[in-house]
Amino acid sequence: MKPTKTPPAPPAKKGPARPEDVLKAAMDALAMPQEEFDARLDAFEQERDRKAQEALKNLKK
Amino acid sequence: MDVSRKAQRPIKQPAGSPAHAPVTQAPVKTEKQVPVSQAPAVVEKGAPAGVPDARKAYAGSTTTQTTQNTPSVGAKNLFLRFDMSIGSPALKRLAGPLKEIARQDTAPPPPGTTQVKFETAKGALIGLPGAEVTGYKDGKIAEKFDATAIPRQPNLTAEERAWETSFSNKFAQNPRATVAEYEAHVGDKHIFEVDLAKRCFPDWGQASKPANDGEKRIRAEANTALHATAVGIAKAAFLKRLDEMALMPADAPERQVLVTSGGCAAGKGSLTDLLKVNSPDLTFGATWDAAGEGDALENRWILQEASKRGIPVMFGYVHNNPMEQFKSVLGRAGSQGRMVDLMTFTNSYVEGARNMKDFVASPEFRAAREKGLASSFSLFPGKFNVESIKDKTQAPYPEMKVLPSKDGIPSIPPMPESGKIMQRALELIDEASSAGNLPSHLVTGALAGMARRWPDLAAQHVPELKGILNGARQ
Repeated sequence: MKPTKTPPAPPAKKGPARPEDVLKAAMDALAMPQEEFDARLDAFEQERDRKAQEALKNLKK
Repeated sequence: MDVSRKAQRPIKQPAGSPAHAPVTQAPVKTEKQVPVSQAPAVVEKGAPAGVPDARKAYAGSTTTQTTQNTPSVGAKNLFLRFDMSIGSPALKRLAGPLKEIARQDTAPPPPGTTQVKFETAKGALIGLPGAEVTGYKDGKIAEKFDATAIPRQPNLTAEERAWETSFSNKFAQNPRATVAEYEAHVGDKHIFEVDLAKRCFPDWGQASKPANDGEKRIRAEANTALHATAVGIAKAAFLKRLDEMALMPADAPERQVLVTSGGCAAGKGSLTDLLKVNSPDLTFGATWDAAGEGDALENRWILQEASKRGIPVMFGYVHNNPMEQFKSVLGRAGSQGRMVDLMTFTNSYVEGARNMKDFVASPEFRAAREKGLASSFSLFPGKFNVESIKDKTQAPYPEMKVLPSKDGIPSIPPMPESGKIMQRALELIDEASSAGNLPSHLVTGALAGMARRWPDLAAQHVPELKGILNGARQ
C-alpha cells in the first residue's frame, strides 16, 4: 500500500499583534549581543536607504 | 565593527555618578533675565572658542574619574548652596562655549508667523503642538498652504532662521511633492519617523549617515530649526496612511497602529529600533515613532484620528534613565550626525513621562480601551551590562522588565528633576569634549538651547548659568 502523503498545514492566519507580542520582540532584541543588534539595525537602515533612493529616482521621472 | 557603531554603546558609569532615583521635584526659581536678543551683536559664527575641534566621533569613555561630587540625600541643601556659589566643574569648563553661543546674533522670524511656545502638557519646546496639522485638509494632502501656519523657534541665528524659512516654504509651496518625497524614505514598513522628514531638506542629506562635513554640520546645528516643518510633513503623511488603512477589511491584521514613545535616545533605548531589528512577524499598518522632542504630546491626536477611522492603536513606552542616556545622544551624533539639544533632551524625559502618564490615565484613553481601540504597555530596559560586550554569555540588559499595569494602564515611573538631568548632560558633554571626542559643531548643537534659545528657562533649572550668560553680555 502506498503511503499517503500528508498535505502541508495551511499557514496560520496572522491576527493583529498584541502588546505581549510587541513586548516579546522588544525584549528579545534587548537580549541580543550588542554587535548583533548593531549589525541588524545597520542592515535595516541600509536597505531602507537603498529603497528610498530607488523610490526618489522614480519620483523624479 | 566600525567606530561609529561602537559609539552607540552605553559606556561605563563613572564612579560616584548619580544613581537613577526618583527625586522630588524642587520648586522652580523664576528670575528675571535680559533676553539674549539684547546681547551685543557679534559677527562671528560657527565654532565656539575653547572647544577641541577633534574630527573624531564620540566613542564613549571608560574613565572612572568623577567630575562632580554626588551628595547624599541628607547633604542636599548643603550641596545646593555649595553648587550655586561656584558652579559645577563641568559648567565652569563649558562657560567659554556657552558665552560664545550666547553672544551670537539672532534673526527675527518672518512677519505673520507665531512662535513655538513651551507649555507643560500643551506644547513642547520644538515642533508642531500636539493636534496641529499643516498640509492636510479635507481628507487629503493640500495643494499648498500658507507657510505662516508653521510656528517658528525663538532666538535662531540668521543662518538657522534661513534653514527654518527655506524648509517651511518648501513644504507650504508643494505639500504633495514633499510628502511623496518623505514617503519614499518611510518605505514599505510604514514607520513614520519625524527625523526622516528632515531628509526632505536637501542639505540634510539622504542617508542614515552624513555624507560630508556640510551634512554633519547641518545635522548637528539645524535639528531645532527644521523640527516643526518635519513634524508637519510626518503628520500629513501619517494621516494619508490612516485614510488608506481605513479602507482595509476590518479583520486585516495590519489595520492597527503602533505608537512608540520615550525620551530622546538611540539604539536600544528606542522601541522602534528594537522592533526594526526583531519584528519580522509583527504587522502594523503604520508605526508612529514619536520623536522624543515631542514630549509624547501627539498621543491624544493620534488616538482621535485613528478612532475616527475605527483603527485600534497600541501605545508602547520605553522608560529610560535620563542621567545616562545623553551618552547615546552623543554616540548617535558621532555616527549619524543629528544632535539633540540638551534642553529638548531633558524635556523629552521629564515632560514626556508626565504627558504619557496623564495620557494613559485620561478618560479618552480609558474609553477607547474599553471599545478595543487602544492598548498600552511600558518597558524598562535597565542598565547596560558592559561586560556583555566581552562575555557573550552575559545578558546585555539583566534588569529589563515589563513595568506593571493596573486595569490595562501601565505604570510610568517619575523622572529626576530637570536641573539634575541637565547637569549630568553637561558633565558628559564636558567629558567628551575634554577628551577631544566632540567636534565643535556638536558642542554648539548640544548647548545652543540653554545658551541662546531658551536661556531663561535653562536658568530656572541651572541657576548658576545666569551668571555665565550675563557675563557674556558684558
